[in-house]
Amino acid sequence: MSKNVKKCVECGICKGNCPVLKSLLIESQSPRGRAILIKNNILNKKIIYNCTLCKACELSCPAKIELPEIIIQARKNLINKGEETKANKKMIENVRKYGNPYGKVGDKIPEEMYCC
Amino acid sequence: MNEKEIKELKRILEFSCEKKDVLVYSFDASEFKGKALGVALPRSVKEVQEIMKYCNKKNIPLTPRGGGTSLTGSSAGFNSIVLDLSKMNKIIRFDKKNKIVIVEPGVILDDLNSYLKKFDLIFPVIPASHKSCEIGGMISTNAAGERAIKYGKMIDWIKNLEVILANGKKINVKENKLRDFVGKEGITGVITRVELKVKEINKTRSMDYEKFRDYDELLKRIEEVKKNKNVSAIEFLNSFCAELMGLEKTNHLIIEYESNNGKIKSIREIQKIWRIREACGPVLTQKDYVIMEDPRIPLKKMKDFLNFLNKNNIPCFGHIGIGILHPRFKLNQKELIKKMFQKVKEIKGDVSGEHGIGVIKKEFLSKKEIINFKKLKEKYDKKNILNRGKII
Ligand SMILES: Cc1cc2nc3c(=O)[nH]c(=O)nc-3n(C[C@H](O)[C@H](O)[C@H](O)COP(=O)(O)OP(=O)(O)OC[C@H]3O[C@@H](n4cnc5c(N)ncnc54)[C@H](O)[C@@H]3O)c2cc1C
Ligand code: SF4
Ligand code: SF4
Repeated sequence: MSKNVKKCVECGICKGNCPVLKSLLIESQSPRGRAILIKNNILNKKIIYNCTLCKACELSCPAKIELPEIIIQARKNLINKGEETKANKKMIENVRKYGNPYGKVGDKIPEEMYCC
Repeated sequence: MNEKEIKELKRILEFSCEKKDVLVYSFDASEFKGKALGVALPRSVKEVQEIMKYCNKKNIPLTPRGGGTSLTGSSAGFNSIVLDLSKMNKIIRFDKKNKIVIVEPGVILDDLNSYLKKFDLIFPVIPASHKSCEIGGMISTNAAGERAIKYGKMIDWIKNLEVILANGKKINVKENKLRDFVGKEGITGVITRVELKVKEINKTRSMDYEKFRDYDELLKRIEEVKKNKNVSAIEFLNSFCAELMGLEKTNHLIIEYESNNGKIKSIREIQKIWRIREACGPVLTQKDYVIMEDPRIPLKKMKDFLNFLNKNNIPCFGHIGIGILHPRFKLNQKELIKKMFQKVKEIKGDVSGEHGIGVIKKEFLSKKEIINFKKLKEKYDKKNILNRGKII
């Protein structure tokens, strides 16, 4: 297994299993697309956060790339630069303030719910 | 492309020239990196026609693309807009009685086969990239699979094609005209609708798994077994590949039958052997042999070629029954690849048996082949809009 995205040979075999690609049908939302973008240091928020971390790509990868782990690291890098998504920012704020990602929870479920 | 053109394109169909899309569409599964200008994602034949008319008028090159699993740079953007047909992925009609299916080009092979499985049917041309390759891309590369010895290539399963020419005109293609588009890597037209033959799933299988030290004996066995009409695959691993796979360092031969001719009858055992064969690609990739070639070698010259591989320590596996082999190379072995193609030419083999030419193998085409491609270009795409810079 490898956490080194440079070991990705861009074969595209992982594409067939990705639920996000199945729904959006554009290469940048494929596991291979994410790997190419990360390799080239383009940390596009939408692409990095749209991944469900389901590991389907990892299971089919002939080069044994642990893409979900690589994506988690990319998220960390975005957070360190203060560039995570709005939803993610709110979620972290809620955890700090209320101890849970959803915000102030009373009798009612809050209208805006944030989670990972 | 200027702002006005981008606006006009967005009026025709879904179009993006964002940095992320430009980058990912500059690649396919090969080591080639091109330069996409943007990506167009049509959902209908009409949108394909409209963008092609527009690009023809404005002289903007277009690169058709399916799953992007090409190993030759043929589906990577190359100062062109990539026309990704993956959103045209409907199974339009299925005629169970006549075993015919009509599909859009963006249908993924595995999706087609899981649909057909419900009716005990199968589309039997199955390349190793079956999880991701799409029917349009498979036709344009005239793909083959592990069972090509029995089921041939894509050309053998196509009844009819709908093709959009570079000027936006829609034509229907069948019979002897099919060869102008099948295996032409999208340089003559864009395939938008396909009528395919399918077949029943064959449930009887058996196998022989043999080892050979001597090439004469190996080739004699292949000649003999090819006479059997029930043979569905003859696969091979050379000794260097076997060693890298952790197997006995000798030549391995796998013969699959769609009958009871083979000694191994247990489906489990057969599947286990297939798994070994299918792991060759991935294992060699992990061991840094990332470049996969696909020369076709005449059986009469096979011994000569196998000796060449041996002498140069080149790991190789492949469909030896039809003469297509997959020698593998490391990224720093470009000179050795050239040397191998010289050998292929010397023994009158083809530089590509199934993956096509694209950008990477252009330099190995013969003058005659180039003239033939140019004639087709002149006939169907005078302005050279489609896949400019590829093949010729
Ligand atoms: C791991 C791996 C294993 C492979 N194994 C095999 C194998 O066993 N056998 C085999 O034959 N190949 C194999 N290939 C090569 C490749 O998968 C095949 O060539 C496949 O048919 C390409 O399909 P695609 O949808 O990915 O096409 P793409 O890569 O998207 O395109 C291939 C070519 O077709 C053109 N094209 C795509 N769609 C259209 C369309 N609708 N109209 C006109 N032109 C179009 C493109 O411009 C390009 O020239 C393998 C590749 C990989 C990465
Ligand atoms: S992540 Fe693995 S399967 Fe996907 S393109 Fe890279 S090497 Fe291929
Ligand atoms: S982990 Fe992410 S990229 Fe991989 S298959 Fe799942 S959603 Fe797709």
